[in-house]
Amino acid sequence: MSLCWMEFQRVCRSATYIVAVTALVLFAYFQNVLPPPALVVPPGAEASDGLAAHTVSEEEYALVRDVDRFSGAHARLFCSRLGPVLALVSALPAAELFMRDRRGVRAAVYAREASSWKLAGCRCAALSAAMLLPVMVMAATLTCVSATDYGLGNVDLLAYFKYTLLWLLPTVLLSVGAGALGAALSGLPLGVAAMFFWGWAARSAPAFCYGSLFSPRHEALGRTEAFLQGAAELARGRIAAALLGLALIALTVLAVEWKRKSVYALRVGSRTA
Amino acid sequence: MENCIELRGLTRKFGNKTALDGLTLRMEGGAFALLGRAGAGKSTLLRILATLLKADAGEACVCGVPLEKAGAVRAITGYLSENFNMYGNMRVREAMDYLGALSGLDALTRRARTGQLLELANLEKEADTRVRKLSPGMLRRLGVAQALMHDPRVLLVDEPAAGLDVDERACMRGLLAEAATDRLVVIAAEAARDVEGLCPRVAVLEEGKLRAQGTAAELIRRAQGKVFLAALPEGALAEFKRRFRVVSVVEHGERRVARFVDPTGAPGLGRPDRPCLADACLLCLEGGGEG
Repeated sequence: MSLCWMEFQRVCRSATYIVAVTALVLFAYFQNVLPPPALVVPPGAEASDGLAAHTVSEEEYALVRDVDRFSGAHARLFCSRLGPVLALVSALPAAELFMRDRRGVRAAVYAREASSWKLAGCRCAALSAAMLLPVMVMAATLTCVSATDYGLGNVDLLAYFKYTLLWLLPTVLLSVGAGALGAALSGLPLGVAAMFFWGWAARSAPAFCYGSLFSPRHEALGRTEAFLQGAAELARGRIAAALLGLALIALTVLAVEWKRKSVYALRVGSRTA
Repeated sequence: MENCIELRGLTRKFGNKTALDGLTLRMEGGAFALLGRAGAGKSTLLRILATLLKADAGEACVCGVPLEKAGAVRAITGYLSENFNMYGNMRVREAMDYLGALSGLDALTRRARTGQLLELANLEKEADTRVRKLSPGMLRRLGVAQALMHDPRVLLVDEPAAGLDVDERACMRGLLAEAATDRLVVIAAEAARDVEGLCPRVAVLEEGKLRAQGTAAELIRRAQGKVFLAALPEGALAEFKRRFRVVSVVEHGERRVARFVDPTGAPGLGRPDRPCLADACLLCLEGGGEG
């Protein structure tokens, strides 16, 4: 726990983390999910307190009210909008953390008793927690906003947190794994480049795409029925993304172990790096 | 089990270059010096013992623990590489804490050990200084302190005085002498002066092979009668260097006095001088030290 906490502090103090969090928050603001710009209302109704209204059909409103409990619908859009950015920026601090293990530092760190599983595992756990932290803070804020807009007893207070863990955590694991593995193997931000390339390739994904490994999409406020129909596909996709992320993290551990024994070592000039 | 390192037939190659060639050696005692020219295999040996490199053949045990048990070996060895560094934005105290955590120490032990070791290394005033702001000498002392964090039975130090000025070298020697009072300290150095008076036992490596080993006193005794001083006329130095192995040249006014070694002990000129460890090491490498 002590080592995980230290790695968490290292991540939070890194320049790339500050850049990543800033990008995340700004994107959430300009993409109209922080705060949400409109309330879901049935036909003929108006939103209170001068807020904008997003009118849906009676059947859809019933699902949003009874199944999503309002905050779930907002949380879904929040995750859909934030997912692609999170997939890109999570790789940055991961790459930086492993790229800092250069030559003289690497000898001091790798000669310690801690196993490669502990060393790399704690780093990846700290990275994942650090990247989810700003999302959780936004989730808490938006939960309060939902409770204020719809009434405390009408919303699911855990909706944002559930969606963050089930929808966004696999994305974070995947991105952290990619960033860490690329840097651990090569000393370069190859994983970051890979995630950016993947994001660019996935930019034209349809508005409702639940099985995407990169980041599922549900680009609508409401549409609960469509979501329920795609829930199984979403679950499969998220489990696959999480497993792929964990596999990349496991490969990162192996890369660290290889480097530790110089079985896999890059030559820099006339000396082995 | 006493603090010692045993090597049997240790071999390591990098492509076509053989860094260690069937090295068999036992290192024990407080401080042990590994001497040799650049490329002799000293750093490679230390990296293998620190489990940062795998040997291609042979066996090695550190305090009875075979190198295959890397975790157990890392628990009892501390390593200071030639190019030691730490994360630049970490403060000295944080760096010690972090490396202590990697060694499995609990928070209380880390705090206590950090205070003791920073005092030992004369770095207590720099505890809150960022690593990137440390001078080279302070960084090397931090390197020794971090290597001792988990109280290892064996300390492996590669070129401890590299890049240090005279004062820092003296400080480093004192630090290593103190560390050697209750553990085995293996010091790899190109310059014998860095270990003279510090290491009672010495091994000389050349091209991955053991050229000589023994106590420093023995090696110096073997060099008796083979070290000479000769005054050289103007312009004679270049020719002299072609004939003899010159250790150093000193200017005395208009004269130059060359200190040189001759394995035969009969160079035909100059007068004998008292040998030092550097001379003994050079003679071993030139084949006159009877390793």
